[in-house]
Amino acid sequence: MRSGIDRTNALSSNALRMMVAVASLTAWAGCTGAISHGGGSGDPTPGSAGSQAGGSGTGGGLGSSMTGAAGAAGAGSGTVSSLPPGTTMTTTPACANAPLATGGAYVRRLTRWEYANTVADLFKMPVPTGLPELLPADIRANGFSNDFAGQLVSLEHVSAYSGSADAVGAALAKAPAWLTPFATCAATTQGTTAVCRDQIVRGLGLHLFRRPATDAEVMSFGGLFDAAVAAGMTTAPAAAAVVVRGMLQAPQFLYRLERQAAAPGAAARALDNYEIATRLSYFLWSSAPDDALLAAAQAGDLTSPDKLRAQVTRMLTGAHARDVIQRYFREWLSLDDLDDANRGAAFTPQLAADMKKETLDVVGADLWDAKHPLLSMFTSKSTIASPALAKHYGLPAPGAGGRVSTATAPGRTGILTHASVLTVDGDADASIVLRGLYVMRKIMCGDVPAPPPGATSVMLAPATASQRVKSDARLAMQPCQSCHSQFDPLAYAFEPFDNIGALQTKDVNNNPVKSDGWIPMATNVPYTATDDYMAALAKDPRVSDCMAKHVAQFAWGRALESADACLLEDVRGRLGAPGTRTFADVVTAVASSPYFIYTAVQ
Amino acid sequence: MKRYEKSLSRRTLLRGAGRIAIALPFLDEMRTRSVWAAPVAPPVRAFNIFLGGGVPSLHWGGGNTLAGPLSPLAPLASKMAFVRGVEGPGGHPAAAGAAFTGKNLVNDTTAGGPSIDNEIMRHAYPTGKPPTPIDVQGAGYYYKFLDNPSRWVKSWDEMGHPKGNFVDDPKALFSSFFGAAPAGMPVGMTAPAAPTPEQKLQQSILDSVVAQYKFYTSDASNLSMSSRSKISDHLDAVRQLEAKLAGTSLVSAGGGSGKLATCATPAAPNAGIYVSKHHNGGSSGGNVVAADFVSSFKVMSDVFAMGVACDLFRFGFSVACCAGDGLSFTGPYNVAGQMVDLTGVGETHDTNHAMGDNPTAGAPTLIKQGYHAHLFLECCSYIMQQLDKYTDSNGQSIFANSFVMLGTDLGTNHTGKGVFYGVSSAGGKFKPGVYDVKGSLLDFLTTCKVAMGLPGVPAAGMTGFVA
Repeated sequence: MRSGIDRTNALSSNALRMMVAVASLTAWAGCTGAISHGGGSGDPTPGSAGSQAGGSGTGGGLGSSMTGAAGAAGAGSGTVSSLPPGTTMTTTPACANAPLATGGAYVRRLTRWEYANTVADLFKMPVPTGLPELLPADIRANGFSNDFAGQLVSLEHVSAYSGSADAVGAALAKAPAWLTPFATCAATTQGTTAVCRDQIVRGLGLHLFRRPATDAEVMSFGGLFDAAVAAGMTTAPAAAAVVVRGMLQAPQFLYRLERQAAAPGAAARALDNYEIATRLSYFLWSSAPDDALLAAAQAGDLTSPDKLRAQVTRMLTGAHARDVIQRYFREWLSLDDLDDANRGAAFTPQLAADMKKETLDVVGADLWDAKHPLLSMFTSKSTIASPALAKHYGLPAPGAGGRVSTATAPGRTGILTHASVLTVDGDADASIVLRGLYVMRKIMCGDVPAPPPGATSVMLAPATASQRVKSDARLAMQPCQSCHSQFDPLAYAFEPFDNIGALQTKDVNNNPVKSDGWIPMATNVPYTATDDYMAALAKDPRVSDCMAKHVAQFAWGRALESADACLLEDVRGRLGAPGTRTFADVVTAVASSPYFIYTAVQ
Repeated sequence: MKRYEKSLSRRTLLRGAGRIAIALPFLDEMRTRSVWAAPVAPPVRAFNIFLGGGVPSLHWGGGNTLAGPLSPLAPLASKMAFVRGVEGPGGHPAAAGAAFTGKNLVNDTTAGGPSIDNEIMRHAYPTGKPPTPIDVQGAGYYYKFLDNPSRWVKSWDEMGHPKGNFVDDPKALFSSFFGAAPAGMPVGMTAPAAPTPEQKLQQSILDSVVAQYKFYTSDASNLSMSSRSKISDHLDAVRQLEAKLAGTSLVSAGGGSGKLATCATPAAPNAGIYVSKHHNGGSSGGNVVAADFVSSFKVMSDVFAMGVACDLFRFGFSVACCAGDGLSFTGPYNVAGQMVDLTGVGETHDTNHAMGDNPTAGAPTLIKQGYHAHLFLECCSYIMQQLDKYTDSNGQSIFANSFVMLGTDLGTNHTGKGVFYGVSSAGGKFKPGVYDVKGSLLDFLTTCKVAMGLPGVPAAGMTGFVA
């Protein structure tokens, strides 16, 4: 019946394989649920769930069963003091008994961007047209789309995953050779035999699940392969494309699953090699591990600090890492808010696109390619602009590649004076409040409580007064003063820029603007103009610390809290002087920290 | 009677529904044993109904009347306790995020704790999950500020993370519940068209996929409870997708045991139904024809309420508009008996500010009347009335038996002072009427939770509306 559609036969085959898997592994998993035959439907029952664990009877669970995959640095209690002798740690003694993982045990779903990257990389094909847009937009929890706290799942998501999997399957169907890298037998006439089928499923599982497939998974997805063959997909690539459609919707693909059970009393658990590989690849590439990284995992190399560092160095040289740093800045600075901003006729979609491109180009060229120190982003007098954006800035036409000096443009200094940032950091009124909060939260990692009830309706100055006059009124009156004094002055330097970042000497109400102010500290740091402000900001230790904290937040996919103080101290300790650190240095420090290879347990 | 000792699984039926017409006797087999043990107490349910922007005290009207912008609530006057004077945190994201938790947000994505519906759910069901296909269903027009989910998320789990199956498209909500069943057909009696080869293949794929999700929600998965809860939410959505792709009904595939006799397929939304769009902060929600918004919301409400009657879910929320949104309504709209053209009036958020900040300084009469509050309350009232339409197993309506809380973010002068709330009688636990109270939002919610049997101490000055 292979040429026909015989649902019964296909399912029976699947059912049989399921039942065998259940019978062979339920005992290991300790499941006591009844094994129902589901009315002959092949329906996996609650009792069958345990069949998916571990594989190979090793009891490792979640892929820790592979030879060479087990073991990790510092097994045991999951604290600094439990790390193997010789492990370099930079934390103070006070952190010695702190857990190496905090923040609770959680799972992270692939973001829309990670999903698209992963598919394109795994199957060596361009991202299928329209595929990213099929998936729902990610919530940017705490500023980043990869933060687990905002990762809702709804029918909308699941429908999109199904549609995306179908689109990928259709794309694979047009490229019969796609399967050979996953299983060499696929190119032979024996492609649909049981032996080759299992090789195919294991090959796909290794890459899509980012670890070796368990026997139970091979059994389950092998059943799907058989169902596809029975349904008329008589070639290995065609049947395997159906397996891919299933795997792309499975939790092992869509989620980054790490085993969250540990020995009794342990505060944290060391990741196994495949889990480390996955963390590393999604941090540095926003994509799945490549063959070299998987090979390193299989060899057990990633629990060696030196070999792990070598992988980090290798991975940072690729194009993927450059894309990721640009994505990081795009999210950190909320540049995508440009897409929805409404700032009048002068703010055209093309100008908005040029603004975003300027910032991303500067990040890519200066901070990544040229390896400029990270803090130079605040003081640079050079940018990369389109002719229209240069005109917007009052600059001469840019040279080759869009490079243009801003030396002759007063105040146009560094990334915070890019039109992109000066648009998204405020509102249509170029509010000092919003701009100050933007700097406080994103650049200095500070915060203030929400305003008290009624505060937003209080009018302390005429509506047509300048932003500075309104701020002066807030700072002269309690209770406003206590909070606004912490962030309003951080935006005074931006007053010479309007709500889309164009220079202005007078605001929309014809009030003169000023640019002097101070950076609030125990002893305030005064500045006379925007250039001074940027230089002072680059020297503020809160800013350099905040840069590292945001990168760590991006790496862990969650907001960092007070309990993460030891983690951040360790990362800082791996870095040189603030003024010399490159973005790659910060990334390397985060990935090299022992905290990076531990997970919280329940 | 052995045949009734085990109900048919939803998946088994789903698969069967793809091949054969289902006859009436087969329906008996679908029933779980508890259904046969009549009479049964109605299941515990809780729903949060939210409108963004608030109902400023300026528009509460005199005495205990529900007039002006509050007039859409009049049909529920004898069925709800309306509470005026709650003190919330103020500010759209903070107040909207606290609206049903009473606690300050940890950040824009994480609430200070679980919402009251979630607390009631975990208190009522030992496993922490109701025995229904969907744990928490959300439906409404909640423009998604991607940076500020607190504005539109109205159910939070025990970790303070967003909870629920969010749907803002009436058609999607309908098809996920009722598949392609014709309107009026008792659910479970439909005979979907013979599945295509591709549909059969899809089913095989989902079989494999579901098996994986089942494992990762099991004890054997080595995942933490919170991680398994996330995976479980995903599994619920996959099951909805199964029903949708099979062209059959999630109900016929095995809804909860509390399905009412009136469970039937409602009218399918038409092609022109309104669907909200997503956007980020600082931007406009765009122009919306007021009549389309209201009528489409009502269609979605019909589907939502029928989903409850069919016991697809017992916990959920509805959002008539998220907090701080800037929608520009157009076209005619009836505000408390006065037909007005909303075109050019301005965005809901800005007009709310104008109304609250300076209500007498030249603002058009229409704005002072609070058209947006009226419009959103019309939507909120409708969905609650739909829940009141279905008779539960004890002879009372679903609305009367359930804990249904009407809430918002802001009160007087666009602040957190004097926020307007409402709560259903919840099986006689709350007294219908209009009450002026003094106390914080946390006090109010704690009082409600205690009335619902949860631990805590009711706040002084907050007990008048408790039976």
